[in-house]
Amino acid sequence: MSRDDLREMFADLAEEVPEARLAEAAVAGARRVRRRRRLIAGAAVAVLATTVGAVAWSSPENVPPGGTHGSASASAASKIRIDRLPVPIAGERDAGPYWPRWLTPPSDAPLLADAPLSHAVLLAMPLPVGVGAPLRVYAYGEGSVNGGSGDGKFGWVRLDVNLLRTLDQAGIAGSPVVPNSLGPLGRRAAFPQRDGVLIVDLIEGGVELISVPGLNTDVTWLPDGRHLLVSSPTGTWLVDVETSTVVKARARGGDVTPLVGGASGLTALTDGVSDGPPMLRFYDDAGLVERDSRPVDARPAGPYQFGFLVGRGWRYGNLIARAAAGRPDTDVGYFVAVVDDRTAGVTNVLDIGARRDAGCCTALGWSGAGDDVLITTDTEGLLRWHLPTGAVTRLSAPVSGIVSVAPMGCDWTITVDNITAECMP
Amino acid sequence: MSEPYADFTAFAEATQLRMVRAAYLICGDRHLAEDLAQSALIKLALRWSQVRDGQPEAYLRTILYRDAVSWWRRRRREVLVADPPEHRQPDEQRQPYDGGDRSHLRLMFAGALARLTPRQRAVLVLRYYEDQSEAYTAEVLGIAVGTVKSQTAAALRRLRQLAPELADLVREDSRGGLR
Repeated sequence: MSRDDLREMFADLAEEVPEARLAEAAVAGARRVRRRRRLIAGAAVAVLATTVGAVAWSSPENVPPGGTHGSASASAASKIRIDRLPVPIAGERDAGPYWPRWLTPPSDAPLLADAPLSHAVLLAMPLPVGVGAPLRVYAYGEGSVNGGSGDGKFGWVRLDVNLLRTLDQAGIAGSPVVPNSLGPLGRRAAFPQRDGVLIVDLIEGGVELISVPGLNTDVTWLPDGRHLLVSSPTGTWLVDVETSTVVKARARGGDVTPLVGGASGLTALTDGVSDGPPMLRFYDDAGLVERDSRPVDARPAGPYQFGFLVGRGWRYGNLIARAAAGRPDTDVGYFVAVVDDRTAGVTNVLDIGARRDAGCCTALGWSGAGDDVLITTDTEGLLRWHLPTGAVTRLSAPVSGIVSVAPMGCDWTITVDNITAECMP
Repeated sequence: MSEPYADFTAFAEATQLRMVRAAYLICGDRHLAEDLAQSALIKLALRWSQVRDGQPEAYLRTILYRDAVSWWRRRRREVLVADPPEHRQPDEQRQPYDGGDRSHLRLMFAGALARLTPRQRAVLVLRYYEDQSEAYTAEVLGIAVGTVKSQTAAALRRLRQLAPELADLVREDSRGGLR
């Protein structure tokens, strides 16, 4: 018996499938997709009208500094959708088991080695209680069966790693679990450490410490899940986790908005200089070469002007989502804005509310092929903001600690070190 | 038919049956296999102008196989399924080996195949049904050649465990491939 026999068994089995007629339907399907994309592109240019809730911003008290009010502002404002956090926020009935109901891992969660995952959905590091308490990192994801396929059962596991707090130049300690610690598709996790980065393969279970010079405080994954930017206050390095090679990058890693899907290249969103508007900076796929920069134009957003940026930004295609605090001379507290990097204009705003504690709220990424922005707040929990409708729903209850969500996007192409990787939708 | 799609249609008609059958061998469901093949052809049609002068069949195969391997994960995220596919094949479908009845062997083979992981099935289908090389298989599935070797060996071992009657069919050589 030989491979020919196995081929024959396959051929026998395959013969059960009769002739298919798919060609014409495929052509029709492609035409439908092209029409839909043209419609969506047209809508993005026209953008949506504001909701009734946005009327409040046009009152004289909320006139943006240097801006106008009256009919001119109203027509400019109508190009931006302003949403507000609903009270109360409805929980998504079908969020589980993919999203955990609680972001607090059980203290008796098994080790990853004893309960392997097929992929992780999120990482969580609860705030340690007590001086000197160890830092524990947990992953939530789908279990693994038969060498890597998901088994449909979701749960928490603990990563058996010894992480040290990061330290900046002023000696201020920071968390080794950062918002982009969990890599694309939930396959690897990265934790910045002094003079290195710890990489955990969540599927195979391997742990590796790669030398990266500096007081590293942040990591930013490229969508290929193989390269990441490791950054410290003094510089950023591009790391290839498969070869452990390290090269100096031009982009400041913490400002780069991780690309989840729908484009290529890297875009950074940074605070403005001297009260100026935030800046968009455009780089090559690896963050090694800066190509362009332009200021964000938030004037049409009325009172929602950027005071300072909060957390980190996330990019899906040409849209960048990031939380921000409003300017101190307005009544605006915290909000999440979506910026279109083609126009540098704000397209959507979610008003989180005024009188919030510092560090209350941050964007955590995208889901739903670029329709939904994931946000976490201290009192509402892990939320999903559906941009086409403005609806906000709860996925998980709030937690005190650090959470990192797996970027799950596709439809991107990047070239790093002359190797092109792509993810086809 | 408009000009841009004239040669696409000819290409699709020439390859569609083979693609549906390959998808069927991976996912085990005829309707799903047609959906997967249809979806892959649509994606190819959308990029036809860029791909037509290169290797459209390789491109189509890459889309199809990767979608066929990953459809199950997407489905689990959207709908909680009571039984993963590895447990769906009832043991009653295992027939006693009577020394040569082809239909019994086919049933046994189908049952054992259904209990491999989607990636293991994809590797076997590419290597033995489509007779592709390890390197090509690695490229289509987006994995390392070493992973192709290990997945092949694991899949053949698993087939032997699940259906000892097929042991002669799936005996490996010392390098993990079939003799």
